[in-house]
Amino acid sequence: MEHPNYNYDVVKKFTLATVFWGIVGFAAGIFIALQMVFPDLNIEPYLSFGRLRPLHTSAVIFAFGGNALFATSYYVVQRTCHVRLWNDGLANFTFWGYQFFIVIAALGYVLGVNQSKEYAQPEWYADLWLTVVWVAYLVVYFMTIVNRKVSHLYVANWFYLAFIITVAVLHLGNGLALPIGVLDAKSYSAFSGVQSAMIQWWYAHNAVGFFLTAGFLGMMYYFIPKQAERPIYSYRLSIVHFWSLIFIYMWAGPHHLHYTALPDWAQTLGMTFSIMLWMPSWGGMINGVMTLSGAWNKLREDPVLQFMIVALAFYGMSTFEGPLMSIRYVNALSHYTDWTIGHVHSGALGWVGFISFGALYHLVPKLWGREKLYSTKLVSLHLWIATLGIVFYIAAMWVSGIMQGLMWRDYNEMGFLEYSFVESVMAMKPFYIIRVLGGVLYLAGALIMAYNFWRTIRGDVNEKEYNNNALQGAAA
Amino acid sequence: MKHFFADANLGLIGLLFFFLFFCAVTLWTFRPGSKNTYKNHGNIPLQEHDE
Repeated sequence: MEHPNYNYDVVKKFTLATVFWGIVGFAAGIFIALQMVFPDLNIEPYLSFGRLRPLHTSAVIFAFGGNALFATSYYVVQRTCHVRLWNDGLANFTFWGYQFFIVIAALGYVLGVNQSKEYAQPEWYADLWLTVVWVAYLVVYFMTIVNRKVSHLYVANWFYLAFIITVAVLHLGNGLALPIGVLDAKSYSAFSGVQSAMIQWWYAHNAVGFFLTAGFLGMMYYFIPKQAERPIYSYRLSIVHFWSLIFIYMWAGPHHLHYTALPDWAQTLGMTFSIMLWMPSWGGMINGVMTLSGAWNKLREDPVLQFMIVALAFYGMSTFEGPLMSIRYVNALSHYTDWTIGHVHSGALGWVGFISFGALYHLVPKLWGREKLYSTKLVSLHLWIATLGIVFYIAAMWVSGIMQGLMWRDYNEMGFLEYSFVESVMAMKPFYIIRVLGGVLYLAGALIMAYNFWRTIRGDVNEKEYNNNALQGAAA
Repeated sequence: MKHFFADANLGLIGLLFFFLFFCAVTLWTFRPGSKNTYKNHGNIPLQEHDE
């Protein structure tokens, strides 16, 4: 088989951007977590919580996660289609265009320009620019598939393609807005009232479903078989997984609007489809984990594989928790509390973060032509520090969230509320401190990864570590 | 066109269409004699040069 001349240049750029924005996004998260503990850190107006919170969510989802998806999708599509990425110039444009979008969106937040839609905060001018970049992304990806030398399109690409197309549809649907002037940053949504709320949560939950799930499942379906050097457990299951996931996810959005003006039937629909999501989610998780069936020893020896399998464990856990929280009676307790924040972070830090770290550890030596990473021990250290960080984070949010929910609904024998709102805020302070600690550990892990990559790219190898391993191997 | 979108059965038609499409895909995936085809598809990531 002839080895095509792949375009690794653009993949390298996206890979470095992923590491950079990851560190920025995690640091921003720690800062806003500290603001919750020490309100004096709200430096008005530019660095107030209200402006930095979307900066954090956009940095981790769109800057860190988005760049990771660009990098891995461009890598996977070339290597599973045995063809060079279509049009170097346009691929390069998607890189610089996407970074430009991130910067103008972030500048807007700090200056108070915000559409006030969850995960869709950028105003109309940034939205239009993103549309241009995204269409270019779709064209590059699609043309590469059209030119492929392998007759069957490997399933990872289905997930990536579903992610690219659906995000385009969601972005266009939810972004429909009329600016109040050509030179004015402010716009008004084309929808109003409960329709606006429904469109927003249709968008936002499918951003979770297609950006943070389908895209990263594409990553999982390529990088786990590669790192384990074994084919996926069941290719048939991966096909059923694909179609069931994309058909069901689309309807789960209304669970964000329980006990609101949204009609009951729509709430029940959202809840029912959310519960049905258990099946594809767990099917996919089992498919990934069972890839190691008969080769579990690899898991013991390879911390990169450990990252990927721990990611699937968190995926399984958060996709169990999500449907549970979508049940209306559970939601009555959990909604608007820190439980939701904890749930999002078990998915984001555990699933999205870890599967990306695993893929990056696999990618970097390959892209820069190094035989192996500078240090495998540092990968292991990153894994354990970051896992501990996630446990601190989500355990603190479970306790504080459930406590918060119980305090809000508690009333005395006279029918008056037992606690004032500020009492529930004060009760959460210790858990907010634990959350900061969890975030610091997670960021420390990412800094270790950045150091490991820097040394790997320079061409360094930790001789001592590998010599010791060789000696142990010889003794055994 | 306007008449079509006002059809009261549209929801049901959509539901049946997607449900049957999904059933067809699933049945097709498990059609007899396709075992090796899918096994080969699963090996695609492992059949590449690794330099």
